[in-house]
Amino acid sequence: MQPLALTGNPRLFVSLILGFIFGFILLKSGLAYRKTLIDQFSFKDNTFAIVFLVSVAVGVPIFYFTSKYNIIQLNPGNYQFWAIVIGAIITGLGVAFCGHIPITAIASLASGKLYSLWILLGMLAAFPIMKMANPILNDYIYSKTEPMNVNALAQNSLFFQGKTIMLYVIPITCLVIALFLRLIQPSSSGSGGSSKKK
Amino acid sequence: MWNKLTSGHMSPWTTGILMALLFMLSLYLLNEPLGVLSSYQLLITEAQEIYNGYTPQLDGQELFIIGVFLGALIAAISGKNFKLLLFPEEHMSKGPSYYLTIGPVLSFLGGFLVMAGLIIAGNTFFKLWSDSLGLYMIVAVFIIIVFVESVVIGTILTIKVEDKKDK
Repeated sequence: MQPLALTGNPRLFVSLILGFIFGFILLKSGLAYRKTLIDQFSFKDNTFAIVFLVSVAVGVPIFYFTSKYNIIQLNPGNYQFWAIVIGAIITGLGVAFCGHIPITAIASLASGKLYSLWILLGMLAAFPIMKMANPILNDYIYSKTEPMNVNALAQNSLFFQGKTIMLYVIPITCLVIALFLRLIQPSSSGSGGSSKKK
Repeated sequence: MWNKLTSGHMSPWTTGILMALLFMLSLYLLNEPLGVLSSYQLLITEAQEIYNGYTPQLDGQELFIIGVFLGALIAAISGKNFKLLLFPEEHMSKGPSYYLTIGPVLSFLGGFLVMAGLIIAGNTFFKLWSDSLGLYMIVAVFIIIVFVESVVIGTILTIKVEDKKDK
């Protein structure tokens, strides 16, 4: 079996529909709201972490078996160690300030939160500025000696190193942490609570 | 069923399962993850083309983002959650000097830093999330750093706000 890899109009239609479903889910689960992510940092509302952990717990076996039978092809990006570390530090700082990642900012704007426009404008401004900063990034980040070949690690993800034990250990660990986060969460917030988020 | 779907709140457990299935579905149907960095760049180019009077040629990645916008819009309207807000409520509570000046600047700066970090890292949070399901260790490093740092800075900011409230 092979991935369908649609082309032409069916591909456009499916992309639109998948986007529609993602947008719908982001809003219905509360992930599109700034408050959900801001409250996550102080563990007042663990919705974001639980969603992530459950998606890993469910996704890891799905990805493993579907890739094993060639239903999907895993194709990681071309990552660099220092770029990932520095990128993560800058992204983390930004997320703490604005409480959004790009996709949730779009969903937030769609729900009438016009202040998300500032966040989106900041995101769009990053493209030309980072393009201008590219020579500096090349000198200081991309050309830095890598402590390990992360792409070799990526191409040989934990699935393919004969460590199939990870197939059980990681999902179970994620579920345990998710349950723990649900238990420590104040009952009035998140996880299907009736409180309305802004 | 539509009423039930639109009026209720989706639990994080259901959301997590659906996210994993949708990531898998996008890889099966399109043979690539959706929401990559280039799609945001392309949207800016297309917007410039519209401004210059040309008809843009949208691709799947751009339509995905448009789909997210439409899906969230429909969910907000059907669930009666659609409310036009110019400023976040926590900014409003700090007074006009905050929500008219510092608030928008922080939002803009936050958005800039998020995207700048993702550009340096090489892809969007969504693509990294999708890659994490393939158990790529380097993606886990990214997500752990973002989460820990956000928790630390978020906590510092919360403590600062609570200190001011006490005073």
